Amino acid sequence: MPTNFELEKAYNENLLDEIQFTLQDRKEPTIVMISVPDYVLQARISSSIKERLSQYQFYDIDLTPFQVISLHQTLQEKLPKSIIESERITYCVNVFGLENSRLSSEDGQIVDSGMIAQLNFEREIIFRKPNYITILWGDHDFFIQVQRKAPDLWSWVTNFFVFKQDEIHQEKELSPAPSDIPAKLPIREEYIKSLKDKLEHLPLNDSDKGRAMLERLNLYSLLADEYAKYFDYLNAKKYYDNAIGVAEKLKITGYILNKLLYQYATLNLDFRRYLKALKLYNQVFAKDFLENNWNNLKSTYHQIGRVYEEQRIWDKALENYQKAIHWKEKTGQAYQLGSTYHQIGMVYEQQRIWDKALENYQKAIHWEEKTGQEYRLGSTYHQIGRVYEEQRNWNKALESYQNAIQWKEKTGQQHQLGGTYNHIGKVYQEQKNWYKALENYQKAIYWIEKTGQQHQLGSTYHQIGMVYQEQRVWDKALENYKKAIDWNQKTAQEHQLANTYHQIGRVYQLQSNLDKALNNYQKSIDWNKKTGQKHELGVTYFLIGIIYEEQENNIIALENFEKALMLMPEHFKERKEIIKESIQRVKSKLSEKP
Amino acid sequence: MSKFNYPVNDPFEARAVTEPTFEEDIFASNLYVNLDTVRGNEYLNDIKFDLGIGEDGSFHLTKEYVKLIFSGHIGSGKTIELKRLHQELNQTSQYFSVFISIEEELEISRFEPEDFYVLLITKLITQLQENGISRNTESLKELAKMFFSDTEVKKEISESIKDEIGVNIEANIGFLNFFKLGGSLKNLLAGETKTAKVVREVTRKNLLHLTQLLNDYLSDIRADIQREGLGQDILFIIDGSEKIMFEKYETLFVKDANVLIGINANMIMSVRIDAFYQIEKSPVRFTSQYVVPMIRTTNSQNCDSLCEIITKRIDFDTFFEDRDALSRCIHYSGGCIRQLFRIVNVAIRKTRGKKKIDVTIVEEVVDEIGNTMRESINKSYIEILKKGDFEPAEAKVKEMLYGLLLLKYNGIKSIKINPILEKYLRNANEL
Repeated sequence: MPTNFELEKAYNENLLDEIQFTLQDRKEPTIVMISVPDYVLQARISSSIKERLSQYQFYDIDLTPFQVISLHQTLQEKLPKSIIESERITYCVNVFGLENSRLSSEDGQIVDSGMIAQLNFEREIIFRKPNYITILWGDHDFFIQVQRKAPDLWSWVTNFFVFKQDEIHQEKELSPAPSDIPAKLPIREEYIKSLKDKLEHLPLNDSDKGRAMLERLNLYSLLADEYAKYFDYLNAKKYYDNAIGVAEKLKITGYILNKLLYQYATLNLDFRRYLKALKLYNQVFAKDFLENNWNNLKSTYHQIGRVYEEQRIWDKALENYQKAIHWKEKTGQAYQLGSTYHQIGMVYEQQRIWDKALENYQKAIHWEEKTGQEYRLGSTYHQIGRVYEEQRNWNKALESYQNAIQWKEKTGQQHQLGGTYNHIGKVYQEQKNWYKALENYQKAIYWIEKTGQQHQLGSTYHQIGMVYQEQRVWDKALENYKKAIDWNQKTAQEHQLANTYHQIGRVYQLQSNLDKALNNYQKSIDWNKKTGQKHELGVTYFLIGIIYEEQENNIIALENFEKALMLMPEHFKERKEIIKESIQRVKSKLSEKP
Repeated sequence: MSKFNYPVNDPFEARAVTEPTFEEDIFASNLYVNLDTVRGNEYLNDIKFDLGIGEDGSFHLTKEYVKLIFSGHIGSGKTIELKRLHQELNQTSQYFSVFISIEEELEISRFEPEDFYVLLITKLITQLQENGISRNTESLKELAKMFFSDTEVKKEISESIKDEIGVNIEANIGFLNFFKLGGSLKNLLAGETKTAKVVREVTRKNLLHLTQLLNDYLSDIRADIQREGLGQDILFIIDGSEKIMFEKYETLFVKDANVLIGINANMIMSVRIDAFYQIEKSPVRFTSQYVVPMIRTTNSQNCDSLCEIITKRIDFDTFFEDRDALSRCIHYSGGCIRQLFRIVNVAIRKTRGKKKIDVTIVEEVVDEIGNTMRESINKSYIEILKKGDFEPAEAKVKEMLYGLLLLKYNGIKSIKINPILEKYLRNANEL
């Protein structure tokens, strides 16, 4: 005797055959509606449909983040032009999450949004006008409501398929939540997996739709935060979009929505999507302002400062940090002052205004100690080390880095150790102490891997490459640069790629393989432009100029030197002098020629 | 030209021709089955009588301008019957008939009651132009002045038309070129355009004046129509008005019904079956009201006609095991043509040309549809169904009529439970 689940499996398989027949060889658009009990089955069925109907291209769109009022209009806005204007009938569009627009909030009550009634009026336009087939996915109750509230539309629906649960799902306990520190660790993977499992098995036919949406909102936000801490931008983005979309539909304002927007903004800042980050922080700011949440303003000013700092817009960064300090003092939250002084220090450090940088780092230390924020001390000592390193004051740099390590170990900030060992390695490298440099880079790799900070690996492999390059061990240098590129690509650290391509170019140049050198310099320029790091371009143009000068192509050499001079930041005065000399030299060569 | 060679015997073609969205000129493709004898053609004769057409086809101008309400269930064949009326009446000796499908002409979801009047004028002018009449009367110029004086409106319309006619006519916008909008009219009235805003505002504020001007125009144009041999009078046949939003529709047909009635032209307008009973009770009286009834499936002549609807489209021997299978489909259709197509379409999907549709398959299909129907109602509706005495004005009864859970037939006390739902409820011991 077949078990119930075996019967349901056979039933589902039959439905798939019917769907295949329904959609095969279509000359006209249609709508198919598919009811599923949970997201796991939805994923399985949708992938089976794709396999069975290879004649079409499939496009998935999740409408969860949007408040859909008109399905037609939403699809017109959200689908790529290539689908809207595609040849009839080449696309199947899977529309997920429409049921999330069923409800909205009115005066604190969760009510029908009117979206289904609207569907009734769109019958003609959604059935007949698109160039594609529409597959609407949803929970069973959603389609029952469509039948009830959109009878005209329903009278055209012949293709409604109800899939049944065909697997036993045993509810698992959630894995223990990892610590709050962002890290790409197995424990977080497990936790994410268990959250996803819970979300996917949430019964979609729960009779209390309001509560079900709140539960889904909670899981979306948890997943978003965890993916953000796992350095997975795309998944984090997806769940923040969903969570914010649902929260807005349910008119959940205040702390929950603001927290989501703030976290989402920070995700975008961490992944260098500055415009988006700024837009989101401004939204948070406006909401806090309207809701009189003065206590939150300082954090938002601080973060906006960071957005400008990362873009090297120093005045705006400082202006926002000052506002953050003002609000922290005004609202009696001195314990957060250390972090803002730390950032101000970084702004000055990047401008190579060493005394001001050190002054602000000292202020940061003062407030961190005074307010019991010792766990921040390691990071500030690390930055002080970097100032000394830049000043080539190796002893003081090493001393500060050692301080940083001690504080980081003492306050459980091991995930930051990799970064400091990396810099200790750099100091030894500058002193041409290759052995010690490599030893510290290995320590850095150890801590980076152990604490799940893989996004820093690219940077360390890059440094190791440089050690071998300086020793003229070309193959090992290239091997490590290659690893650096792989890791930077894998961990979305594209802004570091240009630097590595530049060094690869340098290796080839030193080996007199000038074509390959030029090719890699060009890649470096492309990446720097793409990631908005124009201040890094000068050196690369200069080296390209050198190659052309060597090849006696002085006109192109001159062009590149001029670009280098224009793009080299003002504080690199010596470098600018060298470039000017090169320009003079090439110009005189050109004038000597008949 | 027909889309397929009927009756089709390919399963994919059978799938297409039994879908509710299938579009075909059923008169030209010989798919039309005359249901007058089974449905009773009294109501059609009555409509013609109201429109001044004698039994012998003779035409008499109606003493008043008649406004006929035409209702019926979703999928009962209203559109087809209205199109047939249009075809029959649109002739020199009778009417210059203007057929308007609101669903096709406008974006239903954004429809405002005021759009209705603009649509009447533009569709009338379009059809007149197609027949060689393009007189710009004083009243039409006055109407144009009301609607199109605004500079922004002129610009918008001109932009919309430019692509279609290739010239900029911004300086000279009037109804005679406004009609050229075609598909753009839909866009202009659907979007947040200045045109839509102005057209609606002007109409709302000047409804009476607008009706006067329109009537004046109709009077001028009626003479042209007669002179050119296009008809003896003007008739508007409006399909799809039942699909517009209830409150808009209420404004048009109940609140402002006297405006509609005041238009000097004969009209036939479709309305929702649930609203039909509301209009019936409205203090403003329309000339007559008609309901396209479901076809009773209890006599063999009716079943033969319904059977013909299917077998004209799909080859009986290819798709059906025997007559019993098709008869079962007809029985469960409750005489609702769209429901009949739905049953047959799902049965084709289940057999896919690999085997023929038999009684077992039909029962399976009906159980599936019945289950979904049952899920759409709660116990309070079941209680009403149990009573078996359906008062059409009652809210839940109206709702069930609209949702095809109850079906309206000819005669008094003629509302019945949809046979698919009835079967399901009986099997579940709920009836």
